[in-house]
Amino acid sequence: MEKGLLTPITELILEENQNLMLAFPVTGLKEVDVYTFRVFRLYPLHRTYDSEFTEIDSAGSIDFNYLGADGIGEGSNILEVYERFPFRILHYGVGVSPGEAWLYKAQPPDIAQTGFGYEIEAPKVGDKRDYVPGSLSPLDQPTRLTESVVFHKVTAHYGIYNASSRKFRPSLRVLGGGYDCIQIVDEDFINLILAGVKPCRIITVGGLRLFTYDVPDVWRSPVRVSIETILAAMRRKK
Amino acid sequence: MPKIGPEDTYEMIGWASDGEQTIGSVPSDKFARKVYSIVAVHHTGNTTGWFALRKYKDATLERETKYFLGAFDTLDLSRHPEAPLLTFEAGRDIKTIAGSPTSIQLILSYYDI
Repeated sequence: MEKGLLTPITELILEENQNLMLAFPVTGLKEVDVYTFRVFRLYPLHRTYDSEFTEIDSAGSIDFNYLGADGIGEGSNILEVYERFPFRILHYGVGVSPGEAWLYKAQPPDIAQTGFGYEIEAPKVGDKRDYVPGSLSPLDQPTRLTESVVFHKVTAHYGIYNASSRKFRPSLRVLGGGYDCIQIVDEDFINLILAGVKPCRIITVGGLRLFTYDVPDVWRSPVRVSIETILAAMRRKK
Repeated sequence: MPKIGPEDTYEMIGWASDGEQTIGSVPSDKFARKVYSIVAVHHTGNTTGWFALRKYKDATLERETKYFLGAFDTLDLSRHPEAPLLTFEAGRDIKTIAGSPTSIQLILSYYDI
């Protein structure tokens, strides 16, 4: 079984009573705001898109848009969580077919989701960076490369590029879990998570770059952790 | 790619003669139909015949592949399912035709992905 970036998303979806932490940058890696949750209920998340797409010519693309109930950019956004579900978090991956279809994500829009460290702009569909080809996140087995979370006030848009020499009609599969969560605010517990003592899936939304983010109004204040806090918790672990 | 088992494979069976006949259509919610085996039985004696498989998108002929058989000849083209012979994308119609007076029976094994 593949590990690392090619880990199937089905191995990363949490079970009930497991912990999830969303981390937002405050000052780079010196301080981070974290919202920590325990999964109270898990329900599978599954949606496919195939005939909703039209064929894309070679080197053609479908620009960023939301995944809608009736198609791409049509009907309700399936990755929008309504205000009445403030503690619902969707955790999923996206499988792509064929292998030469390149998938781009915008989350939040205009923020570069990248691992690079040079000054970089949010990718445009067709750029040769920060995309995931279908060969690395296959339709039937989405991988960690496309792992995402969305919640009320934060959604994700997707774009597709045809990198092959022929025309094709792409397919997508959104696969993961919809969590109903309770928020954890105990700072000692959170520090133990950050020190690696308590198991938890930590996810950054938009990477650890500075940007303005928004969360549901009813979420309790985040715990702001600094590198000193984490080091202190690690000392306690010994 | 998911492993293809016998339960995932089907056949398109029909005739090729001097008029076009549709032997299959690829559902629009599939990516493509993969044909990995073609068996053709030539029922006409004393002549060499040919048949063609045509791929249509609506009324547009996108591709034609042509095969020749001797009198009472049988063609058996088979590949491993993971290395199929022909691809027909979603929404395509698969049609046959043969040169007059040829009459050829066809069996195409396939699976949809």
